[in-house]
Amino acid sequence: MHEMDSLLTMLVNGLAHTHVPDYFVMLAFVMVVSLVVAFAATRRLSVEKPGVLQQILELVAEVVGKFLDDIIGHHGRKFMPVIGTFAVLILLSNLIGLIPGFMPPTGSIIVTLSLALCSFVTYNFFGARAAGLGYLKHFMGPILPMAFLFFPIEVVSHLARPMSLAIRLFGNIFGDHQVGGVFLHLVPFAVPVPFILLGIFVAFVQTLVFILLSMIYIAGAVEHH
Amino acid sequence: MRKKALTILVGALLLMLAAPAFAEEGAAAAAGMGKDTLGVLAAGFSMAFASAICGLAQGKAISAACEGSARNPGMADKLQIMMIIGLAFIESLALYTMVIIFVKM
Repeated sequence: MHEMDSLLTMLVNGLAHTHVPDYFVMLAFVMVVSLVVAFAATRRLSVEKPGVLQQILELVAEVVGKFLDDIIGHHGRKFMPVIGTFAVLILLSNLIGLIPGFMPPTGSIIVTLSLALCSFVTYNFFGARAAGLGYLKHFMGPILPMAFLFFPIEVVSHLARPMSLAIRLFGNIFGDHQVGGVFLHLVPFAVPVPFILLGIFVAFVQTLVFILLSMIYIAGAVEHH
Repeated sequence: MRKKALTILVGALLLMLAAPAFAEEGAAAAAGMGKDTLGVLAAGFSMAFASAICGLAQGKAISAACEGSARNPGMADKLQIMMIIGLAFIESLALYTMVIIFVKM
């Protein structure tokens, strides 16, 4: 099935006579939108009369913070910036695909793979910073003489993590987008509504899964043996 | 539900691809099945197997989580998080199949 570019990409490519890929334009658009929303929401913060945007962002921060406390522990709030960024970026990227004429940037394997690699680098970085050279012990297994057996297995299992994160997000969002498209083509009235609702549900659940797994990986990397 | 939708989607895609493939086959039927037809068949069957068994596994996980939170409602929040993570892991197996189909088609 031939995929058409989203409207914004057609506009950009038409005006500038370029061939910028669709996912790039959409991801840049999502980034700009989230930056503008964040700036607009933090312009006027107030305790007595919080605005709508402030309340929404506080809800996001509260949910992410609660998960951080539950999974990583008492120093979990330290990872709020990176996990919060993942949450906002992925949620907006997933949801924007539900608007007709837009393509979800997370429906492209390149975007999801780069997000997953960011998560991979992050948890290894925090793990190495927390334990120094002792971080290598995470790869050695429980008994030191058996380390030569455990090391390759652990390395492969750690390398499989970003791959599975990327393919899970990509497959869900891409598949969901395709299902919505197919049903919209078949019956362009009323029938696609349940699939759009399903799409909203999937967008939230996949964001949750991505940040939960990132948190679990970070928690596993920074814990002390 | 999502698995069902995914199966229907892939089936629909396969049917779209299959029509020209079968039309070509008409001429080349004497020479046996073409490569395209086999690929389409394999794609459909692999997605069907993946969806079916993934659905069974997810059902098992969900029923265990429901039983657990019915016995001990205090644990319901924790169980829900664990269930969602487990479902994500199970589901990614079916998604690997889908990705392989899209790569190979």
